[in-house]
Amino acid sequence: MIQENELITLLLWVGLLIFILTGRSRLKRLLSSEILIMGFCAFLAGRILTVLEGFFWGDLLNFLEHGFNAVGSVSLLVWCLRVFGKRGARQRDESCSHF
Amino acid sequence: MNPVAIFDLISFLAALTSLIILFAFWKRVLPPVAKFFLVGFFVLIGFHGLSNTLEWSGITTILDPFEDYLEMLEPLFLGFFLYVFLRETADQALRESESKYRTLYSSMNEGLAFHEIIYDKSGEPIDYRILDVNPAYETILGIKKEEAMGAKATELYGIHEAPYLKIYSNVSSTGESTSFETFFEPMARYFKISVFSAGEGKFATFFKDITERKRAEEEIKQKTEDIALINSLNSAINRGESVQEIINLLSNETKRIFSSLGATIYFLSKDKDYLVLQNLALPQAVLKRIERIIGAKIPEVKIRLKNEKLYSQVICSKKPRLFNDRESIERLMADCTENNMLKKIVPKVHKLLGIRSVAAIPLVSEDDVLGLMDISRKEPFAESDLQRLQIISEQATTIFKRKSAEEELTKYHEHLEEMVKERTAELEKSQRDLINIVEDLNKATDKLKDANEQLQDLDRLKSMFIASMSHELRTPLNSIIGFTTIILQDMVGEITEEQRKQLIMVKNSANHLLSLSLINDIIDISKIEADKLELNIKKLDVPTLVKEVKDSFSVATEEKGLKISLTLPKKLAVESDERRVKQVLVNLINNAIKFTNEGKIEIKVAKKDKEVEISVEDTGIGIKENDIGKLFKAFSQIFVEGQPRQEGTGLGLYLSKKIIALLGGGIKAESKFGKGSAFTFMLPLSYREVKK
Repeated sequence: MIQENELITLLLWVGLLIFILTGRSRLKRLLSSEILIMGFCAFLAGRILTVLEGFFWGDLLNFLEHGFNAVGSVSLLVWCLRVFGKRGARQRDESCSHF
Repeated sequence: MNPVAIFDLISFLAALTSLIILFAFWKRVLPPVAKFFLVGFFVLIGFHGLSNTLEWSGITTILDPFEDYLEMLEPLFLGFFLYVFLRETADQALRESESKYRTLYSSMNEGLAFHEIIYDKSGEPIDYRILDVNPAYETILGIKKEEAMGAKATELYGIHEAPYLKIYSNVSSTGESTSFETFFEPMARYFKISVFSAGEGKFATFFKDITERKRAEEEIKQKTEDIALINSLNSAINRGESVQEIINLLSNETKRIFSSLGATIYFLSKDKDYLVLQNLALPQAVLKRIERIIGAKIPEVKIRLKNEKLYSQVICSKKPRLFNDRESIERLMADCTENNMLKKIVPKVHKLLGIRSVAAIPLVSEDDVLGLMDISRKEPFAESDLQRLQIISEQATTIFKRKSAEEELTKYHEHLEEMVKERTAELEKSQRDLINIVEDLNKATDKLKDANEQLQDLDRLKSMFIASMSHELRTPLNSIIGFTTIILQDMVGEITEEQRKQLIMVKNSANHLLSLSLINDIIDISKIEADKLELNIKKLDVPTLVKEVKDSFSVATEEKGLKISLTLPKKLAVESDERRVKQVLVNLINNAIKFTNEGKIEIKVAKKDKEVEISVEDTGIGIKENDIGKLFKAFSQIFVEGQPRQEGTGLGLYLSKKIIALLGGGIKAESKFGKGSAFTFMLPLSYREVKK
């Protein structure tokens, strides 16, 4: 059973995926970009599973969806810590790079 | 608790923590729009987690109905954050990059200029325009930015053709950068220019002023060339090349180094009145043309030195001088035109070569002027060229002097060798003559030796003959005397008075012949010379012997009224032949009596070292000093004016000397004319056989 809002949300995430893919080279220049991308992928996976849970293995996919959301949130927390925390600031200064 | 609820709680807490971090480091870096979207994203994530967690606990919030729509905002917020964040990051990087390049652009030492090529209607590049320049451009070229911007190169640098246009248009069209070093005439400076394409029809130039470096290089190159020239002159002299070859080398090398039309060298004549040209430093083709024009070989060039002449002034001042104006060059040329032939040549050469500058350098070394070198070229000489030429000329003069001295030395050496050869030849000739003389002498000596041997043989034969003849003569004489005595004693009968008288005369004559010691003497001399005189050596007492001899003369001395005295040692024994010693002593006393008319005769015997000395001194007529040398020669008799001639053979002293010599002694005579004489002979105490 597909819900309209879930589908729109998924499309928006896919749109973001396309943006990230096109600006991949610039994104890679950011500090800890791999963690950011990992978080993004976790959220995207969560949204995909949200859509899929309507069709099969509802409980399992729902469980996984929430799990991916958690992974995504934690990934972004780590990214924030690395980029905005004291260590991150020092690394930025040393590399003279902007994220 | 439901595991899903745990995941949601984790999501909520993570989002909350992220928000706390963001707020804690709020001032850091991020642009405000990006912060907004990121905060919004974490708020949405946090709400999402919190809402789900509360939902599992059965708690509802007022936002739950909007949860689905809020969820749609999550990718939008994250997307906008990323977009703004990346754009901001890129802008910042660009700004920083621009700032870096701007700093570089303004602070770099090299000049930088951007240009745009101007094409004509056919599309051919004809000029370029300056678009932008950096501060170093202004400093290096001394052109203000406002002046340069938008100006055409031809107008800016005041020239007809845009410099290096071909290179620039090529770089601009191909995109291949290049760099080159060049002397930029409008600025009279050297530059190193690097050209880069700055898009179609545009290019950028980096340039650096390398004038100092180039000048230093040029100076080093010049010094190296000067040193090489001096070295090559030294090498030439070491190789033993002639002065003319060294002159040609100096001329050619100077011409090459200074890119001149000719380098001419003059030497002062010996009287120092003229400068004599040593080399015509003109190309062969020019020389041939000149010879064709004048229709003859180029004559020897001699410049008479007078005070008003420029060359003369240079020589006198001993300092180099430049002639860069036409008037002084013409005057210089006129100085060379005393010779009619040269009057034709010099202006033509001048015109032919297009001489516009002449440097006259005296060849001076240690204040001594050897000559002059003049160098001519189309471009004017600089003062620095003059200094270089002076250094070269000083070195060259030293080398010329050294070479001249060497050549003189060589000539002197050759002359010496020639003399030595002549003297050697003379000596060899003298040596040959000497050898010939020696050979002749040797031959003569051989002949003399042969003659001597023959003479000795003859002498021996003569002595033998005389000995034999004397013996043969004495025998009949004895018979004559004996038989005459028998007849006179009437033993063979009575004889008449007349017969007696004549027989007495015969006997006296025979006695006289026999009594004269001539025959005995001749016999003795013959024996001595024929080595047949036998000695009877024995010990004898000299005083006794002398006394006996003296006593035998007592009658004779009494008859002449002479006193005879003896001075003897008591005993003195010698080893000798008694008979021969007596014979010598008798001979000496006999002579003393013979030549002493009054006075005395004194006989002295004395021992001296290992000899006994016996002398007979008289107070007789004496002997002249000139005649003493003749005393001991055979058959020599000395006659004294006013004195009667004495009887004798002239062999007594000769024989005495021979006998004494045989006995190993010697005999001498001393005399004062008119006062007397002294004859002394010495005998060794022990007889030593004398080698004959």
